[in-house]
Amino acid sequence: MELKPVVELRDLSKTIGAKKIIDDLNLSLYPGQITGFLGPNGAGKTTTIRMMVGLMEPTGGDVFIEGVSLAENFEEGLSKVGVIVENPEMYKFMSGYKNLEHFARMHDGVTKERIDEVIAQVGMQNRIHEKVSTYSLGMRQRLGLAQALLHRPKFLILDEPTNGLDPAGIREFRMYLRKIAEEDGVSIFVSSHMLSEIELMCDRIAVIQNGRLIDIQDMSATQESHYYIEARPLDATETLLTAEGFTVESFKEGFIVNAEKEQIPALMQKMTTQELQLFAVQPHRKTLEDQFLEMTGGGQIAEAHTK
Amino acid sequence: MAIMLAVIVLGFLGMTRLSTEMMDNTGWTEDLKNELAGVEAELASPDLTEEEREQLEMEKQGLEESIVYSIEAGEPEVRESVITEGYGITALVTLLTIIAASGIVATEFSQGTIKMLLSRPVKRWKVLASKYAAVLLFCLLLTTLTFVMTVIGAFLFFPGSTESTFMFYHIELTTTSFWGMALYLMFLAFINSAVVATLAFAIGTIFRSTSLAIGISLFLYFTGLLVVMFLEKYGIGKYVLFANTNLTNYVTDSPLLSGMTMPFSIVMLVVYVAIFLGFSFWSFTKRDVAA
Repeated sequence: MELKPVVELRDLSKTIGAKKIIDDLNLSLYPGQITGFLGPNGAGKTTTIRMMVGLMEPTGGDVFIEGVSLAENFEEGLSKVGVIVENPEMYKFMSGYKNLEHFARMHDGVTKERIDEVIAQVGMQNRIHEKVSTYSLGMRQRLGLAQALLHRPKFLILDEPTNGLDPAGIREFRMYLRKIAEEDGVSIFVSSHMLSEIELMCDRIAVIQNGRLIDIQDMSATQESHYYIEARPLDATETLLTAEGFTVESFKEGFIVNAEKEQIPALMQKMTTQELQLFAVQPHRKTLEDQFLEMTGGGQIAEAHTK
Repeated sequence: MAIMLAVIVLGFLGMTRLSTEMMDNTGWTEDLKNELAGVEAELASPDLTEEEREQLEMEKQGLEESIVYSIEAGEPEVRESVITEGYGITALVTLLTIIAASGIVATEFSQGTIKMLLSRPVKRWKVLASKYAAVLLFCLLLTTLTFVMTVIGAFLFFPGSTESTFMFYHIELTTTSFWGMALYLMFLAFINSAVVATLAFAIGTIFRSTSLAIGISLFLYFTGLLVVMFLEKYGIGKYVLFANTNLTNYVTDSPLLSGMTMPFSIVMLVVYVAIFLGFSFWSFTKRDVAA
């Protein structure tokens, strides 16, 4: 990709006591891209995100937003960032509108019209003047998104954004993120435990474990062609498949092979001539979950450390 | 809170007036005088035992004292004295400001809104400075309100003064103008409240807990003078914060401890406030937001 990155983490580190929570993290995020941020519990996702928005101070390295260092010029850097950190906690005793007004004052150039526009975008017109304490979790998430978008950020950080949204809400949310990524070139960084969600939403995933970035992948590149083949007897089937030069992996009551579409008819003919009982041949997509568990080695929780 | 304060101040003044009115009952004084006359008449009769005479003498003496007392107690307070003494009610302002100052930062942490507040393109010291300014404004608002309500109450419930009542209350009209004096005392009371509020603000900011801040500040506020008296044995009582907060002492009364002066107290207060704010800003700007 030739684009200039919107956000760069350079050698970002955080040491608490003797423990390195985050270890030399390097990551670039590009405009128009939605990047998923995955990792087992305690891997350092939240710490990383907090360092990116100024809630925690890195002990080493720096975060650059459009080339502006947060350590040197916090206000300019952060003025381009919209944030939802975990559940968006709003002032419950104020109305949604008052909350937005309050946060708008902390940014330059957010007009009343812009506030109304954002409210319409997240579909909150009807309830915006009610107190936040009367909102459901889903409503609060919408309000959280609204406050993050007020100042037209170039970069949006979302920590567990779909938590509490209903299926329709999640779908709407996803479409909306896609839209602002594509139309406004916003770079979006989403941390989530819901792998299926990330899979549907993201162009790219970054995986962190024990404070280290262990993998960055483009989602399109991960769609290798796999087929699921179920036939009897099992051993004869396996012998044949291996002899044909496929990588074979046991799965349920059959095997997964890395075959291309064009190879399938010939393979099936061979199987029938050998009088194997063929039950099923179907394309198989490795889910993100499989990949994630592969990468993190079962996703064990990092050695306990105080949060 | 402001409305509550206004009602309390007015109510307090009304009650004061009502209670003095009851004592000022001239009929009651008359009754006492009649009773006294009766006792005197009995004393005049010749056939009394020594014992009876002694008892009547004592009764007479008691009645005479009561009459004098009832007249003195019934001496009406006047408008001007109520207004100049209005700063006494500001202990209530201090109390309410402590509650607000304790929670203004700590509540952001307990409600989780601090994450929203600090992930903005505004430096942390600016956020804290505006919070502190809000505390001072709140304190000023309540003090002003107390003063206004005191003036209203004084005009509603108390009679204006005459030359003689001024003499009675030792108000020196010649040296200071009356309104100037009242405002000056109120301002000193405001400083008292503001300094104590700064302490509560600092504790709330450093420990991030509202209840801890309210508890500690109120405890110190009420026991501060005991600590002063205790430490005075070692000669260091005057360096305690609460020996210096009540600046009105220097104007209306004698200094709390001999050898203390207004400039000394002002310097001490400035030093304390600087320390409180120093710790608050350091803690707020340097520490990570974890939970």
